Amino acid sequence: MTLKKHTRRKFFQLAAAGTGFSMVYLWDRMMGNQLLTTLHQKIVLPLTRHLVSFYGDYIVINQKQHVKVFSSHCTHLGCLIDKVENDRLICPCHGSEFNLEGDAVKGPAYKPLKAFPFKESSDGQQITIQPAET
Amino acid sequence: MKQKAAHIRFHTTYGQIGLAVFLYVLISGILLAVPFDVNRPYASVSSLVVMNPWASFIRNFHYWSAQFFLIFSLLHIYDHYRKQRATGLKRGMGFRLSLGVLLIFMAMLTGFLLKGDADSLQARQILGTLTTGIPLVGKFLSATLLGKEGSFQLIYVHHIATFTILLAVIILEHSRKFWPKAGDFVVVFLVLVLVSWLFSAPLHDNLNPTVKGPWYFVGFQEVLHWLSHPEWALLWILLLLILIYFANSGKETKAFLSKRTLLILTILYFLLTIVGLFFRGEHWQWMVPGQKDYDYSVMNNFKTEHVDFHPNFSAAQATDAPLIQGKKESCVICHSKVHGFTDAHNPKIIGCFSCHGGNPFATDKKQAHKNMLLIPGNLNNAAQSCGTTACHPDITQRINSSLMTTLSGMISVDRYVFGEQDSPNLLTDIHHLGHPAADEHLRNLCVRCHLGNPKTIPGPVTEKSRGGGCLACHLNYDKQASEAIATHQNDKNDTAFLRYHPSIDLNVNDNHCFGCHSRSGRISTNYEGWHETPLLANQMPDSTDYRLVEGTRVFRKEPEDVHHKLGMECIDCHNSYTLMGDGKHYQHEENQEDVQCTDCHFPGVPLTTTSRELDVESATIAALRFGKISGHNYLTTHKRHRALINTTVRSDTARLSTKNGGKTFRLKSPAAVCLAPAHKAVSCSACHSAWAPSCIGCHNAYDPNEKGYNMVTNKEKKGSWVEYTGQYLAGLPALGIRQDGNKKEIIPVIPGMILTIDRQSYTHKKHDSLLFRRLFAPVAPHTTAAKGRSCKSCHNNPVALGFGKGKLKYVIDGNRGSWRFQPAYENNPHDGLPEDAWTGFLQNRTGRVSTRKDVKPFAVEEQKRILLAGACLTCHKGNSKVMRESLTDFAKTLHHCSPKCLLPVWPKKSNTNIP
Repeated sequence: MTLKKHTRRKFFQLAAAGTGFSMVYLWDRMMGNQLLTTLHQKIVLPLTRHLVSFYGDYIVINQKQHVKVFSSHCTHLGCLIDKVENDRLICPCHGSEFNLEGDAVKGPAYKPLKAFPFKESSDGQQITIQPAET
Repeated sequence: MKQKAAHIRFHTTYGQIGLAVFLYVLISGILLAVPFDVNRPYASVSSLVVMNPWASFIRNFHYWSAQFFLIFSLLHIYDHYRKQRATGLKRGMGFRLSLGVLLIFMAMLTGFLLKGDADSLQARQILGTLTTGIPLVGKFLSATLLGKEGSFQLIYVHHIATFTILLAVIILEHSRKFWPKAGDFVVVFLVLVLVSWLFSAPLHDNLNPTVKGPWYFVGFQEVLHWLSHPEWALLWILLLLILIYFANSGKETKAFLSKRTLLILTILYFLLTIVGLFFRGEHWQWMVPGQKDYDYSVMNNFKTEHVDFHPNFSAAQATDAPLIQGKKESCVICHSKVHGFTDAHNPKIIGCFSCHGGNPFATDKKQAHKNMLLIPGNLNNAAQSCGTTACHPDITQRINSSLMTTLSGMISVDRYVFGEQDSPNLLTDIHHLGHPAADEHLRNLCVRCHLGNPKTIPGPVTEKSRGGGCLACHLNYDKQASEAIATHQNDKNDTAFLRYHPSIDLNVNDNHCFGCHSRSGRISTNYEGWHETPLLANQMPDSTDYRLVEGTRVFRKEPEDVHHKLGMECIDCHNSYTLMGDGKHYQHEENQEDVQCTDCHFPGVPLTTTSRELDVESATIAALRFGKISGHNYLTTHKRHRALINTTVRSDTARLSTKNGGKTFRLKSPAAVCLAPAHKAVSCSACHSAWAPSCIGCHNAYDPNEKGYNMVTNKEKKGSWVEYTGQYLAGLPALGIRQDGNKKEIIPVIPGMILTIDRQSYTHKKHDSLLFRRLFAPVAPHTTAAKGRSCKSCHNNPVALGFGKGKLKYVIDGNRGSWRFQPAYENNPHDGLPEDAWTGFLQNRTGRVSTRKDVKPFAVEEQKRILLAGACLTCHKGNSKVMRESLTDFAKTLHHCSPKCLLPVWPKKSNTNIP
């Protein structure tokens, strides 16, 4: 009798665990595909004379025709950097600072800003960013 | 029976109150879902706040009920632990209750994110990054929690469904009931109504640079700020949940230790929360009360208003008003008919709040105008108005290092003259003034003219204006606006001026500069051709040759600058980087100034910049002033390689256009005489300055009974330094040498500081003797004449040579020639030199001789060289062949001179040094 009870409980526990894992599997598959659809989208941004331009997720640095594109997300906690002061990009959340090469020069962030490869249009008016998987 | 009634009336628990509050969270949330638009969260929240006071009240109700729910839930947990009621729960229950604490925070945090304001957007980034940092499932969990970047749909779903339902289930399982006591329900309602009416839920204005999470997370934000590897913070959250679990379900010792640990951590977290809330400002910088901008940077989050159910505008008016920078701003609803703006400052685009501050979400005048900036653009508020991130932040930063803001040169020279520092070249700032004699002298007489001096009364810039930050140059009232503000100032009930806003634009004209620059060096008045006289206003002759400035100062006509005669204004030469600074501190104006005469009047090939190479500021100004700029070549300064955007070079012809008038001139090259080797070291202004103002014989003393003024605080005071002035003169300037390494330049100088200072009158110290100074100052007179001064006006002129006025004569005695000088003024007993002299005739003078370290009078050998040519000029005309040839090779000319030529014989004791 005890053995039978124990077996039934065990069965339902295993069944519940199996169901749980199935849901996790489904979640995993769905999210994998979902995230794939949001990657590899081309981003086209204007290239201006501004030394530093903020475009949502991207920062474009244009130093005498030498252009660099960085992620505007602070490498500390991902806050959007939206301010430049004395050639330092400053994170509003915790005050991390990056130089125009993207290197962290004041913490708490210590990693450099993520740089993106890009192509400049022939007329020099636009750049196209092809974000790689982050 | 009575005891039972009392029990019913007064006995409740934090948990029961929390349950009542939770129901209000649900009800108000359902109501709030009506006006809330998840596709435009910030716009919809700001709109409901501005346009619908009842919706605003519901939002406050929802916010406060949620905050109270959190607080009472935590108190409930504490109560349980204190009374040891929760100990020994079944593991499943203990786990679910621990999870419930997490769910409360998640439900509240998602609500915080749904405001969609600056705080929310950054909090979303942090939450996403932290979630992504969870091993194995982080990336998928983050995407499942927050959804697509920019979309709030999934967050909304989790807020109203996922977390709320799970929480309701756990509450139901935990409390075994869903309905609170009627008494709790009513009392909680009344409290919530009162609080929701008095205190509005936070909404960031998206302009203030300080961003913070919700109050219950700022302690966590403080911890995150310490961690370079913030993912470790996740372990702390896990630890807390485990501690709660053990406190709920652990055995006695384990539960006890867990509860004690939780209590200690809670106290620590409370302290961190205080730090985060009250001591962290922009960029999470440490700030303390009383510090500059503390109120704006730290306390902005606490500025909340009560709900006004009778707005000053109708719903229809509010609906018609445009969204400003993604939000509904109430200012433009009332001030919808104001005009006078340039396109860049159109309030339909940037609103009123961007410049004037105040409360953009207020619905009545009093609330809206609280903390507003009546006059934005003063340097004490420029960072919060003109200099906010989306506008001109770089300029409002660098203007602080401009000489017009620091007054470094003026302060440093004054201290040098007073003997309080050994060099006139030390960098300093008006904010560093103390109370020694020189600094008091500056406070009393000099330092009103700096950009940081705030403009306090609305109205146009006049000749009495001083300072005013950005407005000092960029404020322009048209006729209507001038008349309207003047009418208002006479009759405060007249409000027509509210319809006519002054323009903030690039039309900087000479009147903007006049107030400050008609003083001291007086370059504004010089430029226009006016020389100040010692006459009083009532002594002014009735003649167009005289002009009254500021109602008291009488000026006499002198030749105007040739550039002024052509219609050029100050800004036609002085560009944005020399006026607003380039971010570097400079000692003196000649150090900061970039533009030189030879940038426009160049010999040979010009230095140019193409329009593609223009920096963004120059390109923007050029485009705004002159339209299309592509394909243009601009003259460029030789000193700092900045483009002069009102010039063009085409087919080797350089032209300059006036920035305001649009007049165009072909730029001329220097004359041959200017380029001659003999004049290689002579600056343009040494020859082309028609006149310069000067004064000699001034005495300075402190009068403790004089009605004085503190120009830093703009307040009257008793006691002041007083200047007892001597003569005001206008004439050809003296010349001196500026030596930079081996490079020498002959420049115009004026006797700026031949004076005595009675320091003892201020310091009352016996050892402070009367100071005598004989310092000349380099000057840019701004009295340029097309034709340079004559040869004799330099070579045969004792004033030019620094000897002062008098008779300088070349005496022929037999076959010997020699120079003699008879000064016009008596010798000053302090140094034995004539009153107006800079140096002695055929004497050296070194040491403290000028207001710069690198400027000095001609040394004996230099005097001799000048006078040698002067001797030739006593017989040969300046434009004679021999003199023209001498400009190329003077030595050769001397070698071939005729026997009739009697060159000067110099006295043997001609090297006397004068202290």
